[in-house]
Amino acid sequence: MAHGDRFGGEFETVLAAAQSGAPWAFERIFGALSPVVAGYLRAQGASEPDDLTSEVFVAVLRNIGRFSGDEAGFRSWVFTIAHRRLLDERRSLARRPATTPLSAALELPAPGHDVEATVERSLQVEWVRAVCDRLAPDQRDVLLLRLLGRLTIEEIASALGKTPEAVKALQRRGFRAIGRILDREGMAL
Amino acid sequence: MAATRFLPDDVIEAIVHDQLVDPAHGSLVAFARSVRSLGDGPAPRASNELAALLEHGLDPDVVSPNGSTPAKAAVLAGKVAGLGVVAKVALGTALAAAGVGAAGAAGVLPSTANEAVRHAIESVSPIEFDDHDDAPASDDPAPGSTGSSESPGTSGGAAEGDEPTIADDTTGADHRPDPAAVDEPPGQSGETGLTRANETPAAPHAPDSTPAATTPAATAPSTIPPKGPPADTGQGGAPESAPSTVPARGSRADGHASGT
Repeated sequence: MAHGDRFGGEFETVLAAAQSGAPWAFERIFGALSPVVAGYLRAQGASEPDDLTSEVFVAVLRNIGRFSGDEAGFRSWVFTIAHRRLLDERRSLARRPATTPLSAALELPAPGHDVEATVERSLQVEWVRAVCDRLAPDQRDVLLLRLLGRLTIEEIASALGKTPEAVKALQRRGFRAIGRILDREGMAL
Repeated sequence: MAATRFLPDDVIEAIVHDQLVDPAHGSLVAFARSVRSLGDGPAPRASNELAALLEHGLDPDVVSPNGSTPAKAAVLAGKVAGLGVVAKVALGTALAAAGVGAAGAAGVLPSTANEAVRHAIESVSPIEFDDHDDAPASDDPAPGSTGSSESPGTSGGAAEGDEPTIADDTTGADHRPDPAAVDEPPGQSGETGLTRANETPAAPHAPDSTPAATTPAATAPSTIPPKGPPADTGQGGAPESAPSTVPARGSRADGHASGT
């Protein structure tokens, strides 16, 4: 499986079936990319990451007929939608009175899931979020899209409306900031 | 620490792609792996809308603005497309006939077409309508505008040679013009506004003749024609919708037939 390949080399087949409305292809796309998208939204501090992930995939699947490209391009498209939904949620929350987000509570394992793995993942999410919260928002966007979304510099530039040079500079400063935080302040997992 | 301060782009790319780097960057590598692992969990629960989408594919119950569902419309279109040429013609004819029949039954067609539809319905079904109670004699079309022998009124309804007279007990019979007076078309009895003006105290100021017509009928006469039917105005002297004469009672069939 190639780096970042979540469709086992069958992306073209899955995409063609999804564009013809086949439920199995929808399921395949959701199963392949929804954990990554949900992880991105959690790391970004979305208030309802699961609901937001569902919104993202409803938009993706309803508009999938318009997409053309390879798996990397599809992944970039999905993350662009996810990032825009995240911004929409932030704008919406900014207009409403502050409430305690449900994600502040410990994520409860779904029936049949490993409780220990669930707790471990929750702790990891909290650690990543704590580190990322120390970054400037632009640096956080770039690093998470790069590491979790596996987008290229150019794809991130397109998603964020910046130049590739600006994205590259944000990436460099973000990694340096992470290094300083982890080395000097000892924020170890 | 020093490794963080001097962080070349190639090292960053290696960390991003999870490749081997100098152990001095171990903390960054650990961070990058932790971030990537956030995408390794199970798929989150789907909302109801997404679950329906995943189960059924593109939602077949999404109602389009015209009230039909795309899936049902596509199925119907597919069925029609699969029909043979003869079946398509038959289907189209049936739909057209049903539409005209419904419009005729609702009385929204022009009177001539309405009458034709009624004749057609009466001839193929036991349904009988009242005696054309909404077709007063004054609704006769302008001469020439209708009355073709191909009009449904003569081909579908009355038998040939059966002069279509209008019963005196129909609605509107009281308003029917006297047959003896139908030689004078409405508004052309000879008494005009100019005539009446000449009978008022301001008669000395009344013009001697009516102004020239400003309507598209450029050939309108500049003076009042003598009493009686116009001699040579034809149909060009008046708007097409204004009958220059009223056909005499009983001449209706002629009007229909003469337009051939």
